[in-house]
Amino acid sequence: MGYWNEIVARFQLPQENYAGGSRISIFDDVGVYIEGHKGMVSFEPETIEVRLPKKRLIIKGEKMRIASINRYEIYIVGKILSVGREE
Amino acid sequence: MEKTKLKTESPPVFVINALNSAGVCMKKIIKDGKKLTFEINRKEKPAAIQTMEKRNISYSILSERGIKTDARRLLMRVGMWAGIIIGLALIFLYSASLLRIRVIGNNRVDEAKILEAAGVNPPILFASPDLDKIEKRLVALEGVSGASVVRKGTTLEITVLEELPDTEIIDTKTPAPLVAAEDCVITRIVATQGTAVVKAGDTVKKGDILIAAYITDSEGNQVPVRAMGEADGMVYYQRHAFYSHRMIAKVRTGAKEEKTVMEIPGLSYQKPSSFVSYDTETKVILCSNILPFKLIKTTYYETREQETDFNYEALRLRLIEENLEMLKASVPKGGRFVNWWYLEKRLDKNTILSIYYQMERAVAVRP
Repeated sequence: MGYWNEIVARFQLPQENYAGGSRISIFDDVGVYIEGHKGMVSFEPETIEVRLPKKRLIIKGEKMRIASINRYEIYIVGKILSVGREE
Repeated sequence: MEKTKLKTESPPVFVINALNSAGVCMKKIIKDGKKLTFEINRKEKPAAIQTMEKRNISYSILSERGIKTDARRLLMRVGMWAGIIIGLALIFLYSASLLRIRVIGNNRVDEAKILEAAGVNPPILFASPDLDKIEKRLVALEGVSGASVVRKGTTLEITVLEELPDTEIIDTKTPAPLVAAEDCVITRIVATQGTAVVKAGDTVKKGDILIAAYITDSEGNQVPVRAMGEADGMVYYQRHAFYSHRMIAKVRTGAKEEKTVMEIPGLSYQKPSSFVSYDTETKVILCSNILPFKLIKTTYYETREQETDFNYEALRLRLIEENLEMLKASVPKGGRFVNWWYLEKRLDKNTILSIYYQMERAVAVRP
């Protein structure tokens, strides 16, 4: 955790103030929204791996596709079975 | 939003990361086997193509969507433009044509005379009749005191103001009797001038004098006057119909032919049938509310004459009713209905049906 992020955590500031981190939102089992990604690692309808600043995010599901992607965010839709991280 | 859909068989992660790092926003990325399909904004298409060509990524454009693209595609459709041009030409042709004439306000002047005087025979394409001249021709017509001609769309509306009828001069001086208009039995007679020569209950024939044209003075002299008064009589109308027990009827042979014709107002052309004797059934197949066209299919059934039995008993009620209606239609208007009845006389080879219709009406007329 960086110095700035520690300040944010200690003073319980809104999480948007985290610097250099990423944010993952899961919408039930139909979508995953990722902010602050660093690119794709693999893309299959059953498994999608996304590179985050310090780790990789592994999303498992069925008939998954990328609804939209740009430099900062990805929105993945499909039947989401699990979302995990790999150091 | 203008969108371009692309397809590639290059490694998907490589393609996504390459375009993503070039700042291209991708949407609807679907991997199906080796194929990867995705959509990009049309504005980002040059950057995407440049990136893919730089990285040796083979691609193909599947489709392009959006208002501009669709409009461009529509512009290229020759058939659609031909249809629009033909449609506009038809609408122009329709609106510039005169298809019918409507005559309003004529009670005594015959419509055929008015149409003849108007001198316009629709349908006319690109019609621009001189309305003032038509008005002048109509005013010159006998019985017409004024006329206005207005064009309303495809209709020429002629409004006619008729001259007032000549005043009827009633002669009250010239001696003349009142006579019976029909054979009848007198039920009431009132002489206001002259001498009644019949009384209630008397039977008179048509033309018999009812009120004579004289009065008798105190010295017994007959002084000529114009007979005036009222007389009612019971009048009997009758109709006789003969029905043979054998009749010639038209029966269908089974052969038929169908003919379809486009009917345009003012143009009525009926294709003749090749059969000598036939029945027809007509059906409107297509009828447009916008354009005055009708597609009419006529089916001709060939018939031949065949002698058959005529069952009078089965049809008698309908025959009585039909004959009564025909008799009523032939009876002069006015008067009071009293009664009706019928008699049937059955003979070996035919039946005679007699209908009687009884009315009470004014019967005194000037000879």
